[in-house]
Order: sequence, then structure tokens, then C-alpha cells
Amino acid sequence: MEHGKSTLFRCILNIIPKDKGEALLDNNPINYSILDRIGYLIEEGSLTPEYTVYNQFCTFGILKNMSDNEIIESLLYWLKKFDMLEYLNMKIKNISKGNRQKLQFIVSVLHNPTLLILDEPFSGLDPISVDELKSVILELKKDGRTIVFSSHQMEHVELICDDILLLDKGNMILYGDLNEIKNSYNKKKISVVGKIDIEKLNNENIFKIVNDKFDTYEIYVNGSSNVTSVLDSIKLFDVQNINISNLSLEDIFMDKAGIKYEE
Amino acid sequence: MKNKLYRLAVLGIEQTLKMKFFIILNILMLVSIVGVVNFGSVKQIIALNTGDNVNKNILKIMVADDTARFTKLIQDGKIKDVEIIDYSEGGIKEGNALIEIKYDETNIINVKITSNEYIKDEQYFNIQTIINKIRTDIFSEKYEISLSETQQLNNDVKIERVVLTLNYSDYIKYQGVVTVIAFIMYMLFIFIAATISSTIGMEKISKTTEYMLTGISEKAYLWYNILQVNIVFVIQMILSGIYYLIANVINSILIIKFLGGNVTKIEDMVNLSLDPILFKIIILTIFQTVICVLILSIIQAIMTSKVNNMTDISNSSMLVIMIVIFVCFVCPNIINVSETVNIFVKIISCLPILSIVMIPKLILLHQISNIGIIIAVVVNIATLFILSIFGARWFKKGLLDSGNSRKADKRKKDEIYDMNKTKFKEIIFKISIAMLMYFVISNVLGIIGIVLKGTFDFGANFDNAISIIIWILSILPSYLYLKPLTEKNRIVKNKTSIKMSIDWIFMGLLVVTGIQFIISILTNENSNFDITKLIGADFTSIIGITLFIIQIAILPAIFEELLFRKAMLTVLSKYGNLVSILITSTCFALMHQNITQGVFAFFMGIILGFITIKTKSVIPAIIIHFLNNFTAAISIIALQINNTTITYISTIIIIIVLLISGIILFKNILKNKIIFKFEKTEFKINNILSCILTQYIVIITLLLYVILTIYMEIILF
Repeated sequence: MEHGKSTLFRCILNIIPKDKGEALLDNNPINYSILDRIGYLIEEGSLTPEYTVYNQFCTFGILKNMSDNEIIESLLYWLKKFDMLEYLNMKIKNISKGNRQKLQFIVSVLHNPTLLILDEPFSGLDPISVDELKSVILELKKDGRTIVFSSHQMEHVELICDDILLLDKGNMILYGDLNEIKNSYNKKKISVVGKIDIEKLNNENIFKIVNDKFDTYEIYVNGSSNVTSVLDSIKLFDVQNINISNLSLEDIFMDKAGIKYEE
Repeated sequence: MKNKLYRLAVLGIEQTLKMKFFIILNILMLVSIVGVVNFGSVKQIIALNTGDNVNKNILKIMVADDTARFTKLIQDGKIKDVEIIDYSEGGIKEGNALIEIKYDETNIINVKITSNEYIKDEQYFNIQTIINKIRTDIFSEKYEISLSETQQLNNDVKIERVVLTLNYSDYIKYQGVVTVIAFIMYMLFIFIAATISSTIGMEKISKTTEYMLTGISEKAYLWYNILQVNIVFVIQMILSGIYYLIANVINSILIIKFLGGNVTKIEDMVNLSLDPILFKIIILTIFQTVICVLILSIIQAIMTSKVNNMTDISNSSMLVIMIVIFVCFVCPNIINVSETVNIFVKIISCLPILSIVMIPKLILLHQISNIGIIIAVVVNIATLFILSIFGARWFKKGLLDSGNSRKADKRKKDEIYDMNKTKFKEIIFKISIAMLMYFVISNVLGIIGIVLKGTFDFGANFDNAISIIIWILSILPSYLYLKPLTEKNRIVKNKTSIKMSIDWIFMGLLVVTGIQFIISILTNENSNFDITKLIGADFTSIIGITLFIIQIAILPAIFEELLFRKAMLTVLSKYGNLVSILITSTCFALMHQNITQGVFAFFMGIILGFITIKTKSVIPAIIIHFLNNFTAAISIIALQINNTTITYISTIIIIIVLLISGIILFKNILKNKIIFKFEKTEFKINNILSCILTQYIVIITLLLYVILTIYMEIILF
């Protein structure tokens, strides 16, 4: 499935020409001198298997106009941070996939960029490494870098992002501040554990009921003011646990994309 | 950007120089070059020290001595291990030596020893002693001094020694240089093509390229890759030169120390005086090599940018190597040494890549002016310039397209869903294979037939019999190859009535004769076509005439109709009647391999195809084809044996038949118009064209036929 996110990044990075519109960084159109201030993490990895880590980073450092000393200092700093110093003279083909992904991240931050584009940074990582990388990304965020981040996992997006853009087959279906979107989204989710007869639960405010697991129901309600009336009807059944929450980003996405598919 | 490019290139070169394989390669190179250059000297030193070879202990000498003093002394047995042989014109062979002795006023005696290898010291000293003795004798005779006194006066005689280890006189002066350069070129191209494709391919597959493009432009990236490889190669060349020098220094030390020879100077070793032509060639070759390497590098890089796996990378470099080998082996043969070149060759020689082998040869033949050379140089530079601009764009396009772009996907999907198109493509492919089979087999067997006819002289009947066998053998494989397909797509057996079929036969005959008549009027004055040039026969005997009729009328009617109207048309008719008729008629026309017959065959193919589709049987077509060819055969026979009666009778019969045909045609047009109508199919013309023209094998087959047809036209008529 191609939704156009890599194409979008390529457009920003001037790799492919734009049909219309322009990409600006600090109100400057993007050219090669500005590109030196942008870091880019490529989805499937841009490391050449035959090179050693040191050689690879020298190449990429020069690419971003760094001097030899800067390259070495920065590389050592980041390798220390991820506790990977012993890999310095190893060939990339001998390094495991998770560690390669970390190296890939180091490539994107090596030259201390102001804009960081991360395309699926967590793919191929074990949970511990995910946490490690997440904390580093948040650190960079606190440091004041602009981060463009793409992921299929909505919990990562919710944790890291301030603004979100949902793309579906090249079309923008949602764009804006994350919290605002969540608040403005006037729907609630009621998670219920217990036995419910769906056919008897007949409330006009319910627009969707999901029954993935046995005895667990997720009931989506139109409008937060209608929650109480729905709750009343639920209470008629044998219910063990009720939990009311805002819709998660994933739910919003499913909702939006679902509507589109129906159309 | 330039700074980045420079630093990247330097880094890349440094990394290559650090690589293990590079270091090992250089050590091997040094060892092998030193070994090869010194091999001869070391062998001689070993032979000298061990002296185990008995035969070599006897030195065979040829003596050029005015007074025969030297010969006399040897014959007296004063010198050991030496044998005199007669002076031969064939030059100095292995184990022989030529001793030239001249007497003059000042030095009294001059001696020059020429040999292929270094003469052993003991033998040399023996010879030297003898010569000293002769000298003293002459001296004492001349000035009438006693022998002991002269010996005190004189030192040893200086003997000039010439060792011919390398014989440059056998070399054809220029050709040698050209060959060496060509050899180096092959190595160079193979090395560069392989290295460029492997680096770019690896980076493309690992998506490094995408990251590289965020730092530098596509043009810079292209040149970074090309320059990196080429500079490494230049470094390797310089190192090889140094190894060669080292080897030669070692060799000269060995010669002076152990073999006691004089070292020949470098100028003498490479015995080439730089005349202007050679100078021009060398300069041009170096210049064009540089440009050619860069152009090929760009082509290689662009091709590699399109690949998606390692197999395709090696395939792309194979392709470039094939181009180079083609250019180096085939193109020089375009130039005919004994003739003046025409404008076509001159234009070709200016093209980039081709010029590298063609221009030097043209200069050698004095067939190109300075303006021509300048044009070639300008064309080369312009090509490089244009390629570096547009090439970079294609390169980038290829790099970013990872093979699953939407367009390609969509095209694939279309093809899968459009099963008709896929099947049609397959059938076109099979038909072109059948045509190719006919082409190859008929021509190979034709050559064999010519050889057979030349070797066994059994008369014209024998020749005709061979032609018939060859003809059957060449058309049968194609038919057998296509036949299995027809069983799958058999037309529904719903034959028309026999009466209708006979109607069709008459109508077909009328139209075919009409077409033949029109074509003969149109081409009568220009054409020199004569069927008897293709098919000769002995018209005096009945067997000869029978064979001629079989060859002209019966066999073509049966086999050609089976192949074209039965096999091909049946297979194709599913995809539209018009299409199938046009394709079979084109094939039918091409099969004749000459223009006059081909044009007629095309129209006849249309008529016969139409009738076959209408009657749903191939038999009417066979009958029409037979009758048409039979009348032609009869008229040829009548012409050959000068019998006007036959001509009259056949003409009358033909006119009667045509009259009947005319009536039937007229009747059908008036009453039964519907039988001329065509069923339409939905298969679109653009689909058909794309299926036909996108297949390499079809185009190759077409080209082969067209080229042969033109060739036949030129040769025969």
C-alpha cells in the first residue's frame, strides 16, 4: 500500500520535483545548503553492507559538509549514547538488524540537524531499544528540533507528536494539533467487560460496536453528552467492568478511513 | 558542492586503496611482472651454472671472415666445443652465433659476435684467445716484429657483442601498437564496467543513493561514482608501469652481473621512431579512450540505476562488455582495406565509441582528412556533454524507481487481466519463432545444397531433387511447431457446402489473376525478376518438367497453405479476422525473400486467407494456389521449350475459366452480398501493435527477413 509518505519526504528533501506548492524551512526554500541542516532517516535503511561503520559515517558526514574532526566527535558521542562503541570498525553486513536501525538513526542526527525527518524509526527494534530510541527522540524534541515523524503505530505518534497529518492513498484526511483534534472529536468509547446482547442494546447514539474478544465490547458513542443514556441501557445487562475514554488516535484513524472506504 | 564532491571522491579512492583485494592484486602483479620479464635471464643463469645440457655446450657458429684465418684455426682444433656451420639467410637461430671478422688499417681487426642468447664465458674466452692470436699474427706480419714483442704491446681485442633476445623486426610496426592498445582497452572496459555497476548497484539496493541525493545533486553523484572508479584505475595503471620499470632494472642487473652483457638502451628495446602518423594515432587514441571510457561509464551507471537485484547488475555490465567487444571486433571489418571508403563508413567512424577503433585504421589507410578527425573529436565531446546532462536525469529516475512504482504495477495488472492480450502476445512470439526457424533452416540448408550441387555433378534433375528436399525440410519444422496450437483453438467445424466452395475457388482465381495482371503491368519495365534464376530445371526431359511442376506448383500449394492458412490463420483467427489475415499475408510475403514475389504473395495471401475463413477449410486455398502456380509453371515451360501451342491452349483455358469466374462473382455480388461481410472482433488495433512491436524476437525476425530480401534483390536481379 502506498499512501505517499515517502514521496512527501522526498518532495521536502528536493529529491523529486514537486508538481505544485513549495517546501520552506525557516521561510527559506530548500536548497543544498539548507539540506545540510536536515536529517533524514530512510525507512529501509541506507547503509552499504560492504562498508565499515566508520567509513560509512565518514561518507555521510562529508555529504552534510562536516569536517573530519566533527564527524569523529559526533559519531563517538552518539555511539557512546547507544552503547555501541565496539561496532566502530565492524562491517555493516555483520551487524544485527536492530543495531543497524540504531546506526540509521545516528546517520540522521550526525550533523546536528534542525529539522529531523524520521521515516518509521522503530521498525525492526526490540521493545527495550524502542524505549531507548523514544527517549532520545523526546530529548531532541525538548532541545527544540523540529521532528517530522512517520509511523503506522498510533501510540508512538500520540507520544511524540504535537501536530498530526493523516494520509490515506495520497490524500490528506486529517491535519492539525493532536489535542485539539482529540477534543473536537465528539465521540466517546465505552469499554465493557460482561455479557451483552447486542441486538437488544438498541440506542440511536451508538454508531459502532466492536466485539473482538469474548465478553469484551467496545461501544462507540456519538456525542459525549449521550454517554449517560448509553450507560443506562448497558446497566440492564450483566456487566463486570465499564471504562469510558476519549477516542485514541488509532480509533480516529479507523473511523476516518472507514468512512472514506464506505464512500 | 564541489568541495563535497572532491572530498567524497578522495574518501572513496582511499577506501579502495585500503581494500585487501587491491593490495593482494598489486603484490601479485609485481611478482608476476618481475617474474615474466626476468624469466629468460634467470633461465640462462641457471643453465650457465649447472651446464647439464650437453647439446648446448657445442656452439654452432657462422663465420664471415675475409682471409679465412679464423676458420682455419678452428678446423685445426684450436677452439674447444665449437662447430662451424654454413651461413644461412634465415637469421640467427637458437644456439647459433654469427662471428663477423673484418680487417682494416687502424685497428687491424674488428670482431662482432651476434647471437640469440648470451654465449658461455669459457667459449667466449676461447674465441677471444683465438682472435687475439690472429691479431698478433697479422701485426707481426705487417710490421715484422717478433711475436713476443707484439704481445707486450697490445691489450686484448675489443669484441662487440650483440644479443638478440627480442626480435622487433618481425613486428608489423603499427599493427602491433594498435593490437596492444585494443587489448588494454578491453581489460579497461571490463574492469570499469564491473566496478561501476557493482558500486552503484550495491548502493541502490541498500538505498544509500536516496540519502546521498539529500546531500549532492544527481549529476554530482553520477560523476562521483564514475571518477572514483576511473581514478583508481589510473592509479593502478601507473603502479603497473612502475612494476615494469622495476622488473627491467632487476633484469639489467642480472644481465650485467651474471651474463656479462651490455644492456640495450630503452630506445633500442622499443624500436619505434615517432613519425607523424603514429604520433597522431597515439594522441587520438589516448584522447578518445578517455572520452569513450567516460561515455561507457555513464551508460553503465544509467543501466545499473534501473536494476533491483544483483543478477541484473551483472547482466547490465555484461551488456556493456558485449557492446565493447562488438565494437572492437566487428567495426574494424567495415573498412575494406583495398577500397576507398564511402561516406557511410566515414559517418559511422565519427560516432562516439565506434571512432576509437575506426579512426586510427582510417588514418593508417590515409582515408580520412584532418577535418574528418576534428569532426569525430567534436562529436565525441558533444556526446559526452549531452550525456552528462540528460544521463544524470535518467540516472536519478532509475535510482528512485525501486521497481514497484504505480505505473509499472498498473501495467502489470492490465496485462494479467487482459488474458487475450497475453495469449495473443504468446502466439505472435511463436509465429515469429516459426518464421525464424524457416529462415535459419532454409538458408543453412540452401548453402549446404549449393555445396552439394557443386561437388556432385549429376545434372539439373539431381539439383532440382535436392532443392525439393531442402524446401520440404525447411518448411516442415515450422508447420510441426505451430500445429499443436491449432488443436487447442480449432475453428468450429461447420464447413460450407461444396458448391459454395467451388464458387469461392472460381472467384478467388479471378481476383488472384487480376492482381497478378495489375502487378505485372506496374513492374514490367523496372523489374528484372526471373523465376528461372531461382529455380532452374532441365526442360528437355519429362522428369525435369515433372520435377519443375512439383517444385513450383504442387509443393508450395500444399505446404505453404498448410503452414500459413491452416496453422497460422487458425491460431490467429480468434483475435480478429482482419488481423489474422494481414499477419499471415505479411509472413507469407516475407517468406519469399524477394520483393517481386513478396508483393504478389501479400495480396494473394489476403485473398486466400479471406477464402479460408469464409469456407472454414484450407482445401479451396490449396486448389487456388495450385492452379495459379500451375499456369505460371506451364507458361514458363512453354517459353523455355519454345512451344507456342501450349501457350495458346493454356491461354484459352484460362480465359474460359476466368469468364466463368466472372459470372459467378457477378451473380454472388448481385444476389448473395452477405457472404462478403466480415465479422468484427473487439481486439483493438493499439493492442495488436503493442503486442507485435514490443517483442524483440519479432523485430529481429523482421529485420533478418528484410535484410536478406534486400541482399537477394541486389545479388540476383
